[in-house]
Amino acid sequence: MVWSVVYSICYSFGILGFLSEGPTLKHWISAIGNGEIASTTILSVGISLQVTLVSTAAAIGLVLLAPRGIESRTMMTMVSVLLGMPVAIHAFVVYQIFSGGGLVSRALHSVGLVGSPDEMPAMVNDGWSIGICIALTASSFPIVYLYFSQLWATLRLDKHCRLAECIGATRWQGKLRVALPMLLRKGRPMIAMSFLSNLGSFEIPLLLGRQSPQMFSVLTYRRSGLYDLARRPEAFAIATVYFGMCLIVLIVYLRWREHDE
Amino acid sequence: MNRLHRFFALLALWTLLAPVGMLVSLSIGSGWSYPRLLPDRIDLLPWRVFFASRDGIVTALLHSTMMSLLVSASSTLLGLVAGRSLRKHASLWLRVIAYIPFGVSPMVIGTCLYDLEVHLGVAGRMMGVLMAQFIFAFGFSTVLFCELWNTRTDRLESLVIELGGSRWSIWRHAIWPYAHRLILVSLLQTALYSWLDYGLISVLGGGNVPSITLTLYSYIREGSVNQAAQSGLVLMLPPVVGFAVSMSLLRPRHDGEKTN
Amino acid sequence: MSVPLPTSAPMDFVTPEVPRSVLQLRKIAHQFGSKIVLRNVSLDVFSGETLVILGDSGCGKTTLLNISAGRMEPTSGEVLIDQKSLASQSVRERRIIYLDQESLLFDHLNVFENVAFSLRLAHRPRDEVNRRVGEILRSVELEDHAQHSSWQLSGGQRQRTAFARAILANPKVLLLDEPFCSLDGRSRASMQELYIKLRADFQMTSVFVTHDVKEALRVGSRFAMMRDGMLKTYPSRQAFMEDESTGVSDEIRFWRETSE
Repeated sequence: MVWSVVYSICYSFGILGFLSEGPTLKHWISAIGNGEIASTTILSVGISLQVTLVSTAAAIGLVLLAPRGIESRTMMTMVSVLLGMPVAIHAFVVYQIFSGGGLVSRALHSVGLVGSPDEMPAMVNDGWSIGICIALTASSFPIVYLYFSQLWATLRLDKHCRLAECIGATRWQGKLRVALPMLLRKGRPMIAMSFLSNLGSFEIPLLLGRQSPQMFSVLTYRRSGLYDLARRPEAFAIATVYFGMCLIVLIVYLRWREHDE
Repeated sequence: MNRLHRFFALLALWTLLAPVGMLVSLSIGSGWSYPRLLPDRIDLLPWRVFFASRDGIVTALLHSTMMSLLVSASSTLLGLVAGRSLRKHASLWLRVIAYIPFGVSPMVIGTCLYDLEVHLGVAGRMMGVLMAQFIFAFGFSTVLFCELWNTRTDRLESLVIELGGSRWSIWRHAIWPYAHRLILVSLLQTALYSWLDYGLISVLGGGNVPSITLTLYSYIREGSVNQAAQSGLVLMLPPVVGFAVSMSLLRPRHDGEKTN
Repeated sequence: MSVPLPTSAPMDFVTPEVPRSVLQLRKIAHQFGSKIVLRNVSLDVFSGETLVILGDSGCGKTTLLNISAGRMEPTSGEVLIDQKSLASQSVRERRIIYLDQESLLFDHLNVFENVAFSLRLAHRPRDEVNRRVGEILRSVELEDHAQHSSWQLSGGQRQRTAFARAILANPKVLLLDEPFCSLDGRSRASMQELYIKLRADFQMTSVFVTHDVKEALRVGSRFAMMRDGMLKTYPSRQAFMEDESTGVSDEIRFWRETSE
């Protein structure tokens, strides 16, 4: 792992590599100059933030509504199926539902709202990354939900909510003023980890994203293609930026964990 | 379960069942011409064709299974020991390194590892893929087992020693009762990690190491909707069973009230 | 030489009015499977009194408190709070607070905010909140810890915070399940003193469960003994002390013999 980070830094500065010419900043200048690093960072962070927010809000909302929902066999089966669904399948299903020729378009056609696939508003490979967000949210939701369900039990929030009710809170006041802040506080590390996992997602943006801009993993993969060795160091410049962001989030994550312990 | 809970459970069930149902219907269909809502023809013939005509599928299944078993066994075994060291001796930086596989994209790491594997002569070979998958799975199991070692296990270990126990007794009486469920979870999760991996296998395998994920992607890329759905279902089956087992092992246990 | 034992009830809360029954238990029976835990227990808890229930471990004291708090449904019988069925009221309406040795605090709030919780819910003006919380924190000797987090407190301090919070919520009945049993001897004695003072200051009505005879005599104003699921209430302190089965006479005999 450390080797990967160090190698990436050295490669991006021209110290290592197939066509290395010695230390240079030209690959960084090129990657920054053509706006790829900025657009990729904005896209990746934006998508990741949005997906993390939506999946966390949905998971916490569901836990607050039905704290013991995870104990039901139905819910357990559903979460297992969602967890077991590979990300590629999420992407595939989202494509088959939301693309021009997908299920939504066909359903709209049957009620006369859409005449042909071209008339369907773009929701995959689109400029707003709607398809990526839907698929990433669906894939990250179950693990976040599972975590917060577990946290509800570990923190014994049933007892805390009941206590709040005993001293004058309504059922929802108890949940919103006691359980929610406790879940958010103790769940911060998980939220950070979920953000990180979304930031580095590959399969979903590969299948549902546009040619440009692209998320970190996809761009690194495409730039590192051996068919254009001259631009390969740019892939490592992008990877280095990505590693830097990961490092910051990981340190924050571990600090929060240590604080909680 | 009250009415509100039932409503949300049903809503979630439908949200989930729709895509899975669609996947199943596409897998048993032939063609899906616009604007039909269902495949043109629905029968089990495509499944027979899928397994009969594609030797590649069986090879891919065997490769994926073998890699999963090797990666899970090795990473769980070493993760158990490494988790203990991490808990006892780790500085912040060592912990950051241990957590890298948890959050960092395998694809980006794989890209950086590629050149190293070229030098080692394992790029494009199963050994190269296994090495990279092991690094990630090992990180996962190390972090998982790191949670196992705490002051309670320390006290139990001391207690077994004070009572005259051997090294084996420590494992038998102080560690195993707490570790056995986590060991099973680690075996399952690391096996599933390897089973579902696409990033590392596509970068480091260079197309020479067959796997069920690569097969699925090739179908998706070809636009073979029905076969993609079929291979997707084959790919999904072990993880669904695995996660169901893991979840029942790590199921949240709510406090019962003290009754007496 | 005689050992000073608490022989008379603290009289600081006795009023000339006829006491009103706040909590009523009517023919409560409960069983877990085939094991009968409570047998036909009837009880009245009067306004301003501390009813101490003494009994050995496993005799059903906690079950009785859980049923009184509405945390458990009895197999048969009825619980009334202010003459209204407990089952017909929401947890909030009941205004019964259950405190045990654990002293559950809201971790995301500091001591001040924990204590002020009920006042904040009632949207009391800031000045009033500051004044009342300040007063109660002074009473429980925690004014210097107002800004501390719950994890920075000792067991005794946590217990005081929980007490202060409960008192400001103005409960109809306080149910105390061996609240001081996890504290060391000195903290325990100091908490008992504090409890007596607060009870007088705030006219608290409570049911206090303990298995410690000395604690019972110190804090109680009325006494009951639980044995094999049956509850025996005593008309006076004297009657309680004279009953051989309560263990009070054994305790007195022990201290006399030890001190001679």
